[in-house]
Amino acid sequence: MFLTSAMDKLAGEQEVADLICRYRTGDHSAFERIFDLYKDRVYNMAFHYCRDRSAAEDITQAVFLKLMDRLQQFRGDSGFDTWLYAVVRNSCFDAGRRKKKRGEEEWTVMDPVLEPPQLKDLERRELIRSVQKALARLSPKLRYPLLLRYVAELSYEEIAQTIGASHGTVASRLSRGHLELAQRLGKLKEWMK
Amino acid sequence: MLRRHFLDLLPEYCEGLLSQQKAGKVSDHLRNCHSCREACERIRLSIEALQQLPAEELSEDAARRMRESFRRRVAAPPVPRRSAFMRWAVAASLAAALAAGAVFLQRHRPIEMRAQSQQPPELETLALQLHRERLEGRLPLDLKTSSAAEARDWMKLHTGVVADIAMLRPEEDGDSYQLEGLRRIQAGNRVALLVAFRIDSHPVTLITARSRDFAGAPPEAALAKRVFYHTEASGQKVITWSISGQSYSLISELPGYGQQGCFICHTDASRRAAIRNMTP
Repeated sequence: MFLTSAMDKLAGEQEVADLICRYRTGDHSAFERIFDLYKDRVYNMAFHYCRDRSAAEDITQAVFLKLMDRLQQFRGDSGFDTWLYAVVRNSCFDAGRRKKKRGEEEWTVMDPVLEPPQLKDLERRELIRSVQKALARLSPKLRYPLLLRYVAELSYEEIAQTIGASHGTVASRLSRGHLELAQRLGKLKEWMK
Repeated sequence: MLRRHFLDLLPEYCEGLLSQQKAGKVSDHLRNCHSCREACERIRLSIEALQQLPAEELSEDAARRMRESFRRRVAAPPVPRRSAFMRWAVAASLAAALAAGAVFLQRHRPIEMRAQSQQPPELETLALQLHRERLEGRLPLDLKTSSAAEARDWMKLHTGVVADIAMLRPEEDGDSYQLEGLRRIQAGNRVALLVAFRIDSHPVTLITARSRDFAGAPPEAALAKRVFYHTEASGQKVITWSISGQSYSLISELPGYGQQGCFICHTDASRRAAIRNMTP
């Protein structure tokens, strides 16, 4: 199982490396392929960061527009995924700062889109809503590593590369993030059981 | 092991990511430490909660719009961003232009007319009264001198007024400028300094005091000195201004609006030229 997953990842990385080479030589279809491969991952991170569909779409578009310029400079020192999530992180932070500067209120919590069978499960719906709310109240410094770990499913090493910190810092931020989040989720304890 | 360091290990412990040895140490500690067991429970709760978050997907409509925008971008690439050097160069140029503008304003700011209806500053009223007394020969001077150096020494010794008055005249002024003397004016605790001189034989009276001591001192501008002009019904020209907390009032019957009298304060060529060009 682990071996299959690792091999898939390697094959994925090889495909992306080829696509980047093609894009650099002027093949725009290669960029569209990269977009298709990563659009949902970027959007998923942006959505859980800001909890606003429209803002998440804006962030997604901004990320890929940045990629159009920056792929020329991508040297491959780190994995493409971690490099991409660093761009997503900066775009999320920028969007948050712009929103704050404009004096606008927090991004509103949207109802999660659930599959039809889940729609019946109102408790779960409410639980997700509460988790999103609690997550949104964490500082960006604690929120983003949690999202990288549990939404993007990156390893500690990959998170460290993405945020430019050591393994120890990542461990510390995740621990603090969990404890703060749990504090805000205290009353949901019974539901979780 | 420090508690903070131990807490940092807990998420990895809860997810089963620690080595057997480290995990064993953590388990041992948890058996004996109630607060860490609680923290561990909270972390498990948080992990479970985060794992409930559904995976969100970009709508096909939004994806289509984005693909179109990328194609437009390829068809018409954006203007390249200026390099960091260029951005600094532009910022520096703007700052230099602003500074030059401030200097220009400082030197060429026009004199402002004071409305007739406006209450005159207290110092100006005092200056007019003393100037009239001087014209009528009723104003004795404390120090009669034509020596700028002597006047400066006396001023320092006898008045608390900090008056940055340049009394040395350039040679080109010849005899047009003649210093007559000084007088210390005391009004209660307030002190003002009067300087009596002549420009082309016209008597000119300058009076100066700290702005806070006399009511209605003219406002100071941030970038340039604001100079207010006013002509009395009797024909006397009044120029008042404030700078660095000091107010000045200059009275004369000089031509124009009496700007020539400002020579008392402006002894370098560029400032004199600026004064000549002043227009109310």
